[in-house]
Amino acid sequence: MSISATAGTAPAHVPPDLVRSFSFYDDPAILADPMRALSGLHDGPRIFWNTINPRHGGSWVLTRAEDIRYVTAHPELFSNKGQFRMAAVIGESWDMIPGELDPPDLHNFRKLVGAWLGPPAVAAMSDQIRERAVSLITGLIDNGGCEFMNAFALRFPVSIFVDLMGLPQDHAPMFLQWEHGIIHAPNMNERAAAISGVADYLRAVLAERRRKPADDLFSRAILAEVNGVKLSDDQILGICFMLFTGGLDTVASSMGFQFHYLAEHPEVQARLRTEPALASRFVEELLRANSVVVIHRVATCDTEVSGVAIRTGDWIAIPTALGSIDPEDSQGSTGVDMDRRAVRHMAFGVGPHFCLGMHLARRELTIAVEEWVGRAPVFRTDETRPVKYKGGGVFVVDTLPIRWD
Amino acid sequence: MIVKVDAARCQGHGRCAVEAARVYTLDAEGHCAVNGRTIPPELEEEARIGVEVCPERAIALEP
Repeated sequence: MSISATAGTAPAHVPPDLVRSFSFYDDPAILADPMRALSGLHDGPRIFWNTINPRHGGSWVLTRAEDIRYVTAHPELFSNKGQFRMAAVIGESWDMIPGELDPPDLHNFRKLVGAWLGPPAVAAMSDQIRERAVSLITGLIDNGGCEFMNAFALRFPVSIFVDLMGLPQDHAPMFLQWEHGIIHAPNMNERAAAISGVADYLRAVLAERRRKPADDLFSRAILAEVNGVKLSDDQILGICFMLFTGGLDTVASSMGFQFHYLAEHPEVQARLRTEPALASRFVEELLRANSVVVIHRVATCDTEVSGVAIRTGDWIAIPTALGSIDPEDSQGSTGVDMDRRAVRHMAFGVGPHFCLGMHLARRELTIAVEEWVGRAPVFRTDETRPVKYKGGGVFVVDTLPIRWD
Repeated sequence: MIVKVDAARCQGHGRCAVEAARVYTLDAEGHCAVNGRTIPPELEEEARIGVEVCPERAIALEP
């Protein structure tokens, strides 16, 4: 079975004028400039049926911030169950936690996992995060340039994930390979092999920690209780798998868009060098202009969105970028404005499932900007080698060659 | 000017308290905790920033 995007037919209840075939995976416009391609969808209907959705067959696509807020705020109508299609691909049935839970479990598990990823926990990790960034950057400075994604953007978050989980740093390359397999495998067998690889690894560590507790996240999960009940192996696996997939390609890709912008705007690098406190504002504005994740919901009953009939079992794809840059809702444009008076976006989602890892993600992204402009020479895109993008459930910068000025 | 927070909409992103810290504070679970607070004139502009950054549009200001 291939993952490449082929068009199906729309179900009978979809009005013909709302049917489109737009591949978020490999439409030429997506591969050329994903955010520009997405913003073009604002010229069409506010909700449409996309015959191309490799993960769920066809699906609805929401294009407006208002509809995105409505759907995500009603988990009783639009469920998260099964949205990531990880366990199902390898013939298993555990949920990603809390990303595939619905209320009331959702609230209890978010409280648990949220405490591990909240501002105090992230503040405690901050020095180590900075050390990881500095050590990667100093290793690159003498090279005159680098392919930013492989040299830094992918390696940095995976090193933080490995630290967060209390695993040895020399296992980081293995996670990178699995991550690549889950996101970019050319066929379903290879994707399944990568998912199994991660699941088997995490289960083995969990079994080891059950025998011999350590001071790490697995051991905290083993001791934790939700509603007075200890967590099962499948639940702990679901949490750890969620942490793995939640924090790697999303952070790496956001960083890719941010550094692509910096490489094309040396004057912004200069400004950040003299005003380092602006790094977090820069990150926020770039998250707004480049929200990379597509989330999914499935209708639990026959209902409607903006007057359009939705049937039980219909999947709904929500490119968060369309909410972040919606010109009807906010300061919405794909253009970057560092001096925007207020930055509102949906890069971390909205509603009761918004990203629990957002504090950690912001910390990693801000530290990356601070340390690069503080330590590296002025850098630019390398005109001799093109910047490449890939689409999918996350829009990613695939190749970003930069050289020092 | 009075802050109105729609508790059903507020999910705890915490953006208001970061971008407009003199107006907005969060409760133990990270939700906006200043529903009903009266804003002095010198903080009205900052209060508006908090409204504008909220991804859930959970905050409104009333005269």
